[in-house]
Amino acid sequence: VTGDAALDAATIVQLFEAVGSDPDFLDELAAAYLADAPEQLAAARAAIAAGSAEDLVRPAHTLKSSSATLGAQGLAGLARELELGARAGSLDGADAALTAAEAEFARVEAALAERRRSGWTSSAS
Amino acid sequence: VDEGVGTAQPAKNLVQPLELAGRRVLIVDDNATNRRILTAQLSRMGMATRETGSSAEALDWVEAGEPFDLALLDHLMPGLDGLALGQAIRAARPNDAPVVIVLSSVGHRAIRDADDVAFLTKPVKPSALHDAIVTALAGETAPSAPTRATGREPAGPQIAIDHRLDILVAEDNAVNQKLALRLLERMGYAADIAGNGLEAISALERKHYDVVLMDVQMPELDGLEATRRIVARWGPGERPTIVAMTANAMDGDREMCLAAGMDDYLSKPIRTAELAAALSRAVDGRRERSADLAEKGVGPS
Repeated sequence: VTGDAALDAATIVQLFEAVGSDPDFLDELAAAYLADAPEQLAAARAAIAAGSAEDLVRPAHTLKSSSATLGAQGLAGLARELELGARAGSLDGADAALTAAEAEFARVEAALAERRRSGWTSSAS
Repeated sequence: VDEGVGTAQPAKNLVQPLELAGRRVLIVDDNATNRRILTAQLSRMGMATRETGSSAEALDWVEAGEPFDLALLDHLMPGLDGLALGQAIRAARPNDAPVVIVLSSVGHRAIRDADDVAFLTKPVKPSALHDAIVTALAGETAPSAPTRATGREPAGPQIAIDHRLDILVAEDNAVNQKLALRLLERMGYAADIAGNGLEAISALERKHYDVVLMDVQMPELDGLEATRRIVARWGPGERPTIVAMTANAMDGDREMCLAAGMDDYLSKPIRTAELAAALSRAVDGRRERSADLAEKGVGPS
């Protein structure tokens, strides 16, 4: 079931073509994502620990946006949930959502590594 | 209005001047007066013209291999109409067909989507004609550039709308920054980057930009506030076209961007086709705006 995949295969294919079928560029893009996403997760964790919905908005938004760019739809969805709650000034359920996002990020990381090994062209994800 | 200048006066368009002198133009119109006017206008731009009132004769010339860079075709003609003639010309010369511009006075919109040709509404002002020719020929330098967005992702550089545009990407997200630069690069644009709204404004102070792709959510100064400041500071003829990029597919988001003074809107993740379409709209918008300002005598400073 595609819903279970950490990375949306169609998005990866589309992205690969859009950047000129250049695996090196996607390696670079994934590396930028893998460097940045843990920082956003940590910032979100810190915001929740500090009880600040306001400080949660930006990391959640950034994580949502770049996850969607790479086809990490599940993670983007969790980050969106965090962002919407935070924008409404609420941290209700934020802790659980962030924990789920952290676990999902581990899956995304593994899936990106797999894609990278296959040169971004394999159909498995 | 005769400005008393002997040479062709390039319109105050924002599209970079392109060499028109020596280009060969085929003019087809059954109305002799129109042909004479077009011939005179094009000659002033330094272009070489050949004209006829007959679609059939025009097609004969093309089929005989006569080289034309551009074909200006009236739409309403007996026999083959302008659109059909354009298609016939392309079919006759699949590899080196001239760029086709169809002149029409009626049904402009109805036939607009009929084919990938440029349309101009009559009567055509010299500046509008000049701009349309520059745009059409510039588009041609990128192979058969279809500037219309299609459902599919066009194959890279083919979509280059080779209008020279100076583009600033205001975006704080490293991943989206990289992707935007890459997509633009594949269209032939080397864009500059600003990491937030304040940086975007300082970039505009240093350099002229035609288009700013503006992320809405940015630290320091967000895209909405940055846009308000840009609009407050630079007049309509001076400021860049601002295209919002936002990851919030929420109701009212678009309205908020437009209310802040942005001209257009892209939702993220950005796609090549949508980006190309937005740039194409930016080119059109800037041309219209500069024409309006020129008409009012308020040329861009």
